[in-house]
Amino acid sequence: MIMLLPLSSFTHDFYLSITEVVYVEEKQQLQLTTRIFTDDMEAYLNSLTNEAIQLSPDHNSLLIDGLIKDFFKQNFKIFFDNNQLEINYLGRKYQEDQILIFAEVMGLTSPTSYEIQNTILIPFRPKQQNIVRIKDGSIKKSFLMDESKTILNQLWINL
Amino acid sequence: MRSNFLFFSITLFFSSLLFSQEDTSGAVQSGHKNNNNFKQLYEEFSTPNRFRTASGAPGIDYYQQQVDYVMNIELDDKNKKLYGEETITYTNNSPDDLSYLWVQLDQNIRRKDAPALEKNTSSISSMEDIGSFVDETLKEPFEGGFNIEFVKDSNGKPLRHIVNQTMMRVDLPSPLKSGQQYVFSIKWWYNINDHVINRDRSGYEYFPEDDNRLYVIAQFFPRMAVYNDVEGWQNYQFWGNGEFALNFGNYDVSITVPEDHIMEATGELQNPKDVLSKVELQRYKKALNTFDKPVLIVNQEEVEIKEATKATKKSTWKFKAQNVRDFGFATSRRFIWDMMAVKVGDKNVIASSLYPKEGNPLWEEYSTKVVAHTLEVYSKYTFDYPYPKAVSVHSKNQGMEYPMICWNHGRPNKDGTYSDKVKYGMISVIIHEVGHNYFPMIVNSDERQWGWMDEGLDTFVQYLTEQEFEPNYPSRRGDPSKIIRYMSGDQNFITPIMSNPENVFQLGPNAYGKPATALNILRETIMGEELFDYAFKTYSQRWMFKHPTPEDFFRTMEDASAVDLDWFWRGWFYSTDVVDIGVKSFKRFYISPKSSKEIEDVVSDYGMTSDELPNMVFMIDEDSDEFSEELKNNEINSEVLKNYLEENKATLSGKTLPKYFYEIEFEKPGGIVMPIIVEYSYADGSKERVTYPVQVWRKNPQFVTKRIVSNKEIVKVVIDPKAKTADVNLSNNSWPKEELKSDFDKFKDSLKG
Repeated sequence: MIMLLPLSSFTHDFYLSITEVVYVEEKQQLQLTTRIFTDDMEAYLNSLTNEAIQLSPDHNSLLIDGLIKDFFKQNFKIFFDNNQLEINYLGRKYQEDQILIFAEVMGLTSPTSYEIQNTILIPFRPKQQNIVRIKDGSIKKSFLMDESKTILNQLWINL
Repeated sequence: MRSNFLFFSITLFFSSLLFSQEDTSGAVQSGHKNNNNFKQLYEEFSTPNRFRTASGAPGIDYYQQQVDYVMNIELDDKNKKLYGEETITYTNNSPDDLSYLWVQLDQNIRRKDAPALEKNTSSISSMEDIGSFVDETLKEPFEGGFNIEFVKDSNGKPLRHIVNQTMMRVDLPSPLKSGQQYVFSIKWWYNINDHVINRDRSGYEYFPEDDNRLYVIAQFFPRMAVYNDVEGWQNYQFWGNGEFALNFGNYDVSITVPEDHIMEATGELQNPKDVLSKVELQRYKKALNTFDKPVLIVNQEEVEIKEATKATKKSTWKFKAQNVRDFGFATSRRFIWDMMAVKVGDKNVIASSLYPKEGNPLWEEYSTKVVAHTLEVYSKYTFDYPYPKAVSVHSKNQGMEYPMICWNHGRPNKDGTYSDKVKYGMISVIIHEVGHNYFPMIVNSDERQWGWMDEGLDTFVQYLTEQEFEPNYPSRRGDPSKIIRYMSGDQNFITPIMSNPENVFQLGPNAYGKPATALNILRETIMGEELFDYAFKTYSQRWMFKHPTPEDFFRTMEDASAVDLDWFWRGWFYSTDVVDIGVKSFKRFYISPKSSKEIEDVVSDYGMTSDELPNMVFMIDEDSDEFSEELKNNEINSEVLKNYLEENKATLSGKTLPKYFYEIEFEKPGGIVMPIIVEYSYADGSKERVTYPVQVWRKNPQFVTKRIVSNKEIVKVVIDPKAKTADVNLSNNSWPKEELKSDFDKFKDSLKG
């Protein structure tokens, strides 16, 4: 049998995204990299529009770029000390069976507290799991988010 | 003598540092078992015996049961039902008497009360997609599973039987003695499922535009369970992930379908004259002798006409197959059919494809050619394909294998365009599923217990076959770099390869990607192609038409190559450890006229000074506090050494001392031991690759050092420069340390460019 991800029915359901949030102090920059399985992303975009969307390679790059930019803005939000950050979408690329979405925030100092709202593919995939990895210098921490936990609220110092 | 004694004492002093740490506490240390990475796998492996030898070959008493089937099958296309009556001839080749027989009823996984439906956790979430919510809540269960009408002996007398989930025990009136045969019959029917809904391995796809179905039918008849020397009777139910354990035997099958259907199945078609039109028959005969390109037996135009009507008459297709472990068939009035002959060894094999028009233009161009290519390459690495034919059937979302026939996905867009992803996805799945003829259809491993034995080996040969299909073929699995993300993932969601398919978190990487990569690494990096290929072929040929276990594979690979691989199986197959080898330090040393303070201290304990030590060369590390820049003077800064060289001039026959002395320390944060592959770059621009054998880790699995002497200055050291070992952490692979760019930085750089 051939195994394709994601799997359904009798086989294991496995829907996952991973977002790396890296704070680079010397650049006062927050770097965001999100990985999602391309076929999940494609299925989701197809649920939004009547046009048959095809990714990797894209059937219509301009349209897809717009859709993914909106998708990311709507589903991944960051607040530093209760102020929502203006996330600058940079673009995307494909790596094997995944799509990588890149975004950044410039001119930032590290906050006292932060909040992340992550609704990537929720509720589109009922069993979606979204991992967030936060990194500041050598300190790293990762969090598992899903539909029962779409908001992450922490002190930066606890990283 | 005194100096020898002193030298001995000093050496002892330094080596005893290693052992001296416990001395202060005075507490008794607890011992430990043999945890060495190179410990042989006696505890993991079963004891060799007369059925299975220590060399990995079948033993003198090896046996396997023979099961022959005669079946009459009828498809009710209108009501989506399949009816069958089968006569099973069971030959007991085991040394044991059997008082009951177990039969597998795999269709029962689709009974509405099947425990498999509840094998996973489920939950209510605070927010759910409306479509799946309504679906989950209100859907009618499918009335699946076998309806057994009778089980009778050869005299027509009913046999007592009991169904336990997906298996049925048939009680014999008297035990079946070793060496004897038993003949009995089963009559059954079941409702055929739509395989597209749940991605089932068999069923139909419905085409509403012309109210037609495309059937890919498998696991469709009660099949004998395996009885053997390792499991006794198979008793692991079919839960959905672990596939099948099956016996070899001969099949004589008649299948009745609407007259306008086209069919392919396991086995040779016995009555083409009865089921094909005159024109089709002519083309069929032509295809049997056409080697350059496929011949269309039924073309798209003809199919498009057939779609509009439905035949009321029926026809019966007859197939016979020798020495197969299963039987599958595909039937529809929507099938286009092409076929060609391939030379494999000294035999002609038929490669053919069935596909609806939805598969075109991709399928008419590639499918049958890929089947032919697969047979050629797999035969080269294993054995000549022994069956008369191999068929690829187009089926939505499928990728599933049976003897001589398989179902494969790959559907272009409605307008006939297709992406590279669809094209290569299709070619890869055809290679993979046709390749399954070798593993597990012929090298008949127990899939119910070990998914990797067929999937892993098949995915490995699939990789070789893809790479031979065209240069730089985009293989999804096989290259070491492709398994890194899985192996470096959260250990809570990784299981060893040696796990039952039901109990793993990610079956794709676990049973397919990781074992395929491990074998690729064995071939290219550990054993070399020549030793590997011979051993792999030996395994394939030893176990051709037999039932191997994992140990039979592990043992044969070692036995036929004289390469002890217990450490490799332990790391890659029995554990979830990862490869991570790095450079911890790289130091340059100089010859020094005087000893270090450390040596001085030891010597003074003996009431001496280092000057009194005869015939000693002192070395000093460039980074040491005691190092002085004067030593960089390109001279031999040791009178003792100079004198020694002068005195021994004759025996040294003009050799001079190398200029550069280095000590490199390797670290191994990863749990897997692997050879250390190092590339040394010199100041003159040249490079040298050195491989230190894996055994270098046997006494210290964390750190090892190596002394390097050279006439050229080393300016750079890189471990695993060609990414051949699936090293999960590249940040420690270089000296001087190289800053690795993140995907983010690389992407941002590409925007600027």
